[in-house]
Amino acid sequence: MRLFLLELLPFLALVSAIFVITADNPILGVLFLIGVFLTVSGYLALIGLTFLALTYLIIYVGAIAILFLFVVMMMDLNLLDLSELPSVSFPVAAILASSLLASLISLLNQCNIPFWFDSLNLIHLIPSLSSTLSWSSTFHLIEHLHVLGLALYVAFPLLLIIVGLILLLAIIGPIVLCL
Amino acid sequence: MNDNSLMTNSLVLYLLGLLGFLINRRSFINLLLSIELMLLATTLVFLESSYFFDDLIGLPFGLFIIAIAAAESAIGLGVLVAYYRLRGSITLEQF
Repeated sequence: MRLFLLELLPFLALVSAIFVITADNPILGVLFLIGVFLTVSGYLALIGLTFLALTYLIIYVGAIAILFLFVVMMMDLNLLDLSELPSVSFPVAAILASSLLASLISLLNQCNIPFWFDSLNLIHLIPSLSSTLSWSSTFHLIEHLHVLGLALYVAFPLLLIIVGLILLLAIIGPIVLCL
Repeated sequence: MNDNSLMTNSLVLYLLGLLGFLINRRSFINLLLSIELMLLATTLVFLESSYFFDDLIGLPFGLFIIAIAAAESAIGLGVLVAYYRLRGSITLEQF
């Protein structure tokens, strides 16, 4: 089940990203962007980066996407019809789309189907017949948050202060812009 | 899923954001959404490479990228509001 979700969630993120860029009105785009953030957050939680998954939920969905929705609600939106497409940037779009297609084809060529079938192996349901003790989890005493705290406050404290200053700039900047 | 297919997945996500940024005629907000997609894809590359190479350096760097993306979104939306006040609409006619 976990392996199936590890394959499914990045694919759902791609589908939601396609709907973000081809949405009719910007509100649908923001909603599908929330969908992208939700799938990526679920994928990170399955990887084991639990703090980053919850951080994505709180910061990306709870702050940035809500900010987008507030600004979109404040505006008077004129919805353009999609029948006219630009002809100036069509070569750029063609080059980008072909490179995207090449990447997708190389992505599909790397699917290991027996690896996916291993998740259906019933022997993993019987704990006594599978490996009795996994030694890696006995040493897993440090949580993800503890590790990130050590990295931020012991290894890179100056970077933390600089990021705080950048966030202060992000508070003051829009106030000056919209005076 | 092996690391190569996940990096390709993040590359496709980045290219989708780039595609949405370049062939966008609808509104200014689609630009900001595409920028968010690109930032998310690069953060995913950092986190996945730190996961697959057993290195710790990618995790706090990904956290910094999230903070920078939040700051950039706030300032971009401030620019959007100022642009809306100046023009009266946020559609892009000549871009």
